[in-house]
Amino acid sequence: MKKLKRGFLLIAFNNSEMDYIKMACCCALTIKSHLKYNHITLVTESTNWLKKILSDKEIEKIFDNIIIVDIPNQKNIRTHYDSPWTKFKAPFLNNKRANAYEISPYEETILLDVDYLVMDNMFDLVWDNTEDFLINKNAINLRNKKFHEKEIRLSESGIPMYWATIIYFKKSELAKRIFDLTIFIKDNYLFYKHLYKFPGSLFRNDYVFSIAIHIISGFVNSNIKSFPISTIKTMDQKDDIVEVNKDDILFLSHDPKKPWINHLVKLDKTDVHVLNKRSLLRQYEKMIKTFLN
Amino acid sequence: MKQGFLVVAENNNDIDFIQMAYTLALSLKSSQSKIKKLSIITTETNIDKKYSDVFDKIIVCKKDDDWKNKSKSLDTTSLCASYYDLTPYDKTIVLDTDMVFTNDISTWWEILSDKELIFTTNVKTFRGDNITNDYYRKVYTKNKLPNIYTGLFYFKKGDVSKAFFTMVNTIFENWKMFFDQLEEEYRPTFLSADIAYAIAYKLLGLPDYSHLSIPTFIHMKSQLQDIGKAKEDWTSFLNVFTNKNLDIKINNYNQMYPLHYHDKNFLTKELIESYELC
Repeated sequence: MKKLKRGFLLIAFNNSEMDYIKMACCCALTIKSHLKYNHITLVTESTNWLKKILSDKEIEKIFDNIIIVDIPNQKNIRTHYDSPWTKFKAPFLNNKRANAYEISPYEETILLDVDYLVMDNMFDLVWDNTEDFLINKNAINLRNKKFHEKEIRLSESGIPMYWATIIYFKKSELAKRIFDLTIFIKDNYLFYKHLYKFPGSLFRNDYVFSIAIHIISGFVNSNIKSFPISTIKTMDQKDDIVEVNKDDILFLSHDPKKPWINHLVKLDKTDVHVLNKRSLLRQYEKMIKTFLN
Repeated sequence: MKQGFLVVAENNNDIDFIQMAYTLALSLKSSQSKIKKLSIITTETNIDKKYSDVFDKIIVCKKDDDWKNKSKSLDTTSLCASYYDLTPYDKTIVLDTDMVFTNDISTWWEILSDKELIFTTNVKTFRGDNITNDYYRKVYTKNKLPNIYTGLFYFKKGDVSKAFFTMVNTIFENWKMFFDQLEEEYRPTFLSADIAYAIAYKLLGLPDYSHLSIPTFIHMKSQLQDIGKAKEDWTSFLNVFTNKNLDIKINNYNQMYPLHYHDKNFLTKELIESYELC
């Protein structure tokens, strides 16, 4: 296959609870709308569902390339919130991310979570980078507060947590080594859970990449660079989206210290990681109308 | 020019400081490419041959029981005032006994030799982050004393270092008078060599080298590790791993600088044997 120069890689597998294909469409629409370089490859197990929800013409407008891979064989159940009042569990088929290096058709790839909405042009600054690999380790919530303590390090006395939400990589020795390591860590996840003392039983790419970066850096704090905007604005699972417009999003931000309060927060031309996935799916129809026409 | 490392090692009822100095000497031999010599200052006269063989010089001083009434750390404190006269070297790095070296710091000697006297002012956590908290150093911050660490410092013979140790001696001899000038709430009730050094440094108006990244060391006192409130014996909750190259990992972090382990449980029989085999 001919190598494409640069583009975005979105990995999406649907499950019984969550429509990741629709989320990938939302993510892709924002990429197309805000970025000059916006070639997008969707990685999924089948196009059947995509063809049910969109016409061929619409699909072509959203995705430039679709790669079909086997659905991950994975039992990974995640607890989600949809606002503070609804809690549910859903399968989380996320272990293909470690294979992104092999899967990517690009010389330079930006790997994005499908629940990431691109509302500014930061990614246009990233291409042709002198670095082979970029990843962020800082996240703040909608109220500009630091994210949960347990999302800052893998454990209180552990290594810093990098967010696998957005990753830039070049086809390069360093990136290949990092991804090879992530596959090894994925395959030996319980061992690394014991070694790095991270909590819970959920398979998290954030942990896998954090450990890989720690190892590749010689078991000291890493010099791996961040994106130009080094902090990921993150909407918490207990927050909600009021509406998505072309350049801005209006949220209700839940204050855990005062749970009776929801702050109205408007993000203008700011990328955001939407952790309340159902709130994003509620915006799907509107986003198709707003961004596609 | 003679160069080398120097420690004070004085056993007490609980702790075998000579064994610690022995392990430190072995770690220097295995990690340093140029200057590997460690001399000890002690009042012990009967040192096991296995230990004495690894030391460059053993400088035996007479016990001075008078110091026991003044100092928390028995005789060792009085000896700390005498480094200038007792060192067998022209250029000396003075260390705390409860340290080991994992990496070669040979390049430091040349950099440090530009100064006559330089103390560590920046210390690190096991994760390599600079320590900014003053949990154990309130007496320094509240009295605006220079934040110098005596755990690792360098001096070469000369006017400045001689004046410094002369001042330290004066403070030692009149420590109550000097310590009375400190804020009462944060005033040590015993003669602390660390505080006496800081007072001497301040009184002589010696330069502030806190912008320099070396000398430095990893300071393993628990409350400095940025891990919340923790038990003082960090070995009870952080994993320690060593390999046959004598690299040391703490919670899977490679230790790249001199390690001031502080918690004596760190020095296991197995660790000492690994150094002996190397």
